[in-house]
Amino acid sequence: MPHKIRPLLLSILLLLPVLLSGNGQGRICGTIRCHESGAPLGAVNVYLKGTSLGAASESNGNYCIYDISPGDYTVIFRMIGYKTREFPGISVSEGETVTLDVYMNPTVLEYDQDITVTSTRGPTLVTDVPASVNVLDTDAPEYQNAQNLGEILQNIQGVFIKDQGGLGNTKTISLRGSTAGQVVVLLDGQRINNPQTGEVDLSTLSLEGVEKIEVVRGSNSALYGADAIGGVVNIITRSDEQKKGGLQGSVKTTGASFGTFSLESTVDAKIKRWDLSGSGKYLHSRGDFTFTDNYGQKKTRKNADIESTDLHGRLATSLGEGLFTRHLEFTLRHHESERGAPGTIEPYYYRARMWDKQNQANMLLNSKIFSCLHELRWQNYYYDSWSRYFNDESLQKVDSRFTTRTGGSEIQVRSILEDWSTLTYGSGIRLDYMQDHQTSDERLRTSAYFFTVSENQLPVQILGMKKLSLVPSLRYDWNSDYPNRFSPKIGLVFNWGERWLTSLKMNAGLSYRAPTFNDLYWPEDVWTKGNPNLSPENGMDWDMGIRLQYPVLNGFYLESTYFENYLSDMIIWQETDGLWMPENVQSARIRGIENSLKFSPLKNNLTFQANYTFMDARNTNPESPAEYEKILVYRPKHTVNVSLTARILHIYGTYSYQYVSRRYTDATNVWKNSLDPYSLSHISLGYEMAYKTFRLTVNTHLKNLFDTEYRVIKNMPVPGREWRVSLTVEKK
Amino acid sequence: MNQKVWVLCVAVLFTAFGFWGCEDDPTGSDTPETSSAIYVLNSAATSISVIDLEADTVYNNVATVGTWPNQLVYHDEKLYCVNSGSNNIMIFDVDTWEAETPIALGDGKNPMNMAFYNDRYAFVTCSMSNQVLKVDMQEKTVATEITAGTGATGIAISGDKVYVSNTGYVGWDQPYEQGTVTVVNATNGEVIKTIDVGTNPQSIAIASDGKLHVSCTGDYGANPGVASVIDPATDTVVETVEIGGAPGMIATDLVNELAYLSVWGMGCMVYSTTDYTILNDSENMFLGKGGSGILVDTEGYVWVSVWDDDQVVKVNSTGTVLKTYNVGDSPMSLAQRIY
Repeated sequence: MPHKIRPLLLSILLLLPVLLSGNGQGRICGTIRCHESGAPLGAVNVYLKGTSLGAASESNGNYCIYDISPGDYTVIFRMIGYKTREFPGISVSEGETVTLDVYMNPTVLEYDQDITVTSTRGPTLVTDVPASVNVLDTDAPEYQNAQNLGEILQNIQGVFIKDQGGLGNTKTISLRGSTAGQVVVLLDGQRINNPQTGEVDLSTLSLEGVEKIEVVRGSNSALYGADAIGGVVNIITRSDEQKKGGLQGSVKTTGASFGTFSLESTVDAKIKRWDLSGSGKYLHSRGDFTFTDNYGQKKTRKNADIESTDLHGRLATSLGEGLFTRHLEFTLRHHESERGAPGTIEPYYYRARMWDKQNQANMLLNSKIFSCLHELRWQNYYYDSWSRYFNDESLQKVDSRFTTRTGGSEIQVRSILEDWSTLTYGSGIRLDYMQDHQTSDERLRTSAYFFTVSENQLPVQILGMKKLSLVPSLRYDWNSDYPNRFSPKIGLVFNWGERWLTSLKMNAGLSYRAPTFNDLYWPEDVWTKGNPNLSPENGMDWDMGIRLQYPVLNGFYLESTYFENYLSDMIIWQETDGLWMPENVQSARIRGIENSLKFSPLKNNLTFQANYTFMDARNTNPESPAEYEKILVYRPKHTVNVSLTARILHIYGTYSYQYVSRRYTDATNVWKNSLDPYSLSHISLGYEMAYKTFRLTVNTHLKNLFDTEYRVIKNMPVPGREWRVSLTVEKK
Repeated sequence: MNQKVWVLCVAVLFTAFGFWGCEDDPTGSDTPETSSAIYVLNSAATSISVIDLEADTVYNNVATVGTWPNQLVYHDEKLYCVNSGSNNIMIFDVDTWEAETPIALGDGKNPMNMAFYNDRYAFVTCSMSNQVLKVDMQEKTVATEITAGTGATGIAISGDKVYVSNTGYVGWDQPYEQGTVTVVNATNGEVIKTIDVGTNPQSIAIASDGKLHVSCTGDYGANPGVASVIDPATDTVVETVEIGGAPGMIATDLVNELAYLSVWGMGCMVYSTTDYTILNDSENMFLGKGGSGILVDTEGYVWVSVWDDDQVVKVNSTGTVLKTYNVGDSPMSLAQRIY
């Protein structure tokens, strides 16, 4: 290269940032604070209307929009949970820095502002989404002594946990009368339904590292694809916004009835730009509770022990500066357990055992792209599960071992199109693999999908209405095992008022459940075989409800929703030509009403919550006359949950009550086989004290206060009265 | 309306929902009063239906049974149900439908079928423990545990001898062992002899000439079903009826001297118990449906359970359907109340 050209190129390179920075352009900078508290607000989107210029505020509330050509602009400040503010006529001159400090007002003042990320695949206020959503904060007092996910979810309207009894036994979820395989369970947005069975055993999901849980009731295949007929449960682990920096941690030890002991610890640290967190839990329980057998004899539930270990680690960092800062996060989870598998009490297995191992790895990248109006979310995930079931007491000796592996990648972009319109779109690819170690049978399923959801907040002024939210969504799934599917859904929310907010919401959509590996490829023997020609189960649902949020009683909240779900081509294992095999034969109609109520007679000191679900789930297949129009098994008609939480200085307590009506256990509804209704009362008491940077919490919990003997599943006894005491030391 | 009043109304309404939970048995408590009946074991409903032959009426779900019920046996005004999963025998008074305390047979037995030796003792086959149990029905205890063969299932009693069919099933991925029938002395519980029969022997019935007919299902592959005929005088197989298919249960018609072998979901195969002529084979099924349970009543009518349709069909010996009864979910074993 000639000597004269090299310095010239070097000069251009050195000057390039200056040239590209738009020398002579202006900028708008300032600080954003909350009007109520004065606290700085981070992650506020600030942009110039009609341009692609913008910024996001940092955690100290500061922001700066660079490279603004001279002229007059309208500056818009937008953040979820706060009223959008517009400043028209902001004049920027050449080379000038305009200072614009802003205070933002929360959109609602009198009640909780739960934010959901599950119902629209982006952060949205629960009050703005048409879907029926519950957001559970796992730090809430009532969940302090929960040992697994099933114990937390059981008090939500529309949810019925099929608890086989005891800590070690299987717990699966039914949402709006669905089966467990018709509910998608996500861990940080990643599906963890077992591709072999389609289900998730909630007893194997500890609450380690979990920050909140979102439950979206009603079909959602339009966003999450297969299996979201009943709804979606999203388990969200702690994010870096939770930490203040430095070293934090906690140790919690719990002792409980039936020889139960658990030890949990968490560590959080911030080292330069790195957020590190880790947590672990060890649980051991003998599980030897007493129960009354079917003939009135008192017996001890033997072989119901569990020993489990859970580990969770997270590493997060921010790369780059300013608007295009990239947030990168790696998470790892490990679960390992061994438990007795006594099965039913008739027959009773004294030596049957189960082993489970699960590993999960997740990489998540969040970043603005193009401008502050577009946010990228890129997730890569891996999940494996190994399970073994051993039983030498059954007629057919069993020593089954299965491995499933799931890996995938998903890209999602969330774009603000207008002040009133946001579009989220993306696609993903996923591989599901299963290996049966006994038969060496291996199966692989490949799937790809595209989805889009549009959130539109239209200022409609009809019949006193303030706002109309229109949320259409659509997903297309391609799959190697069954025909491709379009899943549409539309949701509407009509809002009247602001402080006295009355909302009318409605949803309608199509959904489906994919046949599992077991359904398709169960190895053929003399009695059974899978059916590779199965089609997915189809669901068509709609719901309509009213939501009231009034500024009385320190935030009065009431929601009532009527829902209907029509299921067809349901996969049922039945005898065909002498072999048991799955067929698309059954149809069902599920309808009901979910009601929930919440208010605080004494602000921050006394909160009352209640919900009631009426559900009528019936078989509508006329080809089986004895079962036609009969109530589906294990679908209670009535479920009531009531809780009262009180706090006085450092003491808090919760009383909760649950009523579940009769459940049929056979398809023809033989009354004598049905399970009696049950009512349960639980009580918790806790004490918190702080010393310097330490916080000590003692929590006691009496579960099933009146020692009620009941069964959720036929021949599966549930423990009677159970106490738990925990001690937590936390360093802030 | 004032907003607070509205709030209060909603709260009151909400509370009222909680009282909707009261439910009553919609099926009522009707029980049949009859001295002539066919009892039907509904396996999926785990219940008993009664076909009242006097009133020609069906009473469904008059009683519930245990886990994995397998067989109903009527004896001396009582109905006995063998529950494989519950490992017990339930006893019902067929007039009041009161249930007595079940007879516990012990964990890990998997009882399949029973037969009465006399009013005091019955014998019960146990397929998992490979035993036949001599049960004292008065004391409700197991008197003697007798080792039979692998997968002890079918049972019949002829004179003082108990005949137990052993399927030889050892696992779905293993070939069947030699099918056998164990002959036990009913009085002292000693095993007299083990007789080799066809593959996978399931059920035993006694014909009018006293011979024992054993339905052998075969292995669903190279070895199709046969019926092995045992002469109790010599305890040897005197005839093998190569009927084919995969027969399950067997019932003998003492009036017309026929044997009916049920084939699950497909009907029955029929042969003569006198000259072993095959009247209906697997290509030419009698009835053409059902077969989860079969009984030939004292008048020679054939009763067949149709699992898929939740029905029991009454047929004459020529195959004409005389009546169809809607019973409970997934009917299986049948028993007759003899008046």
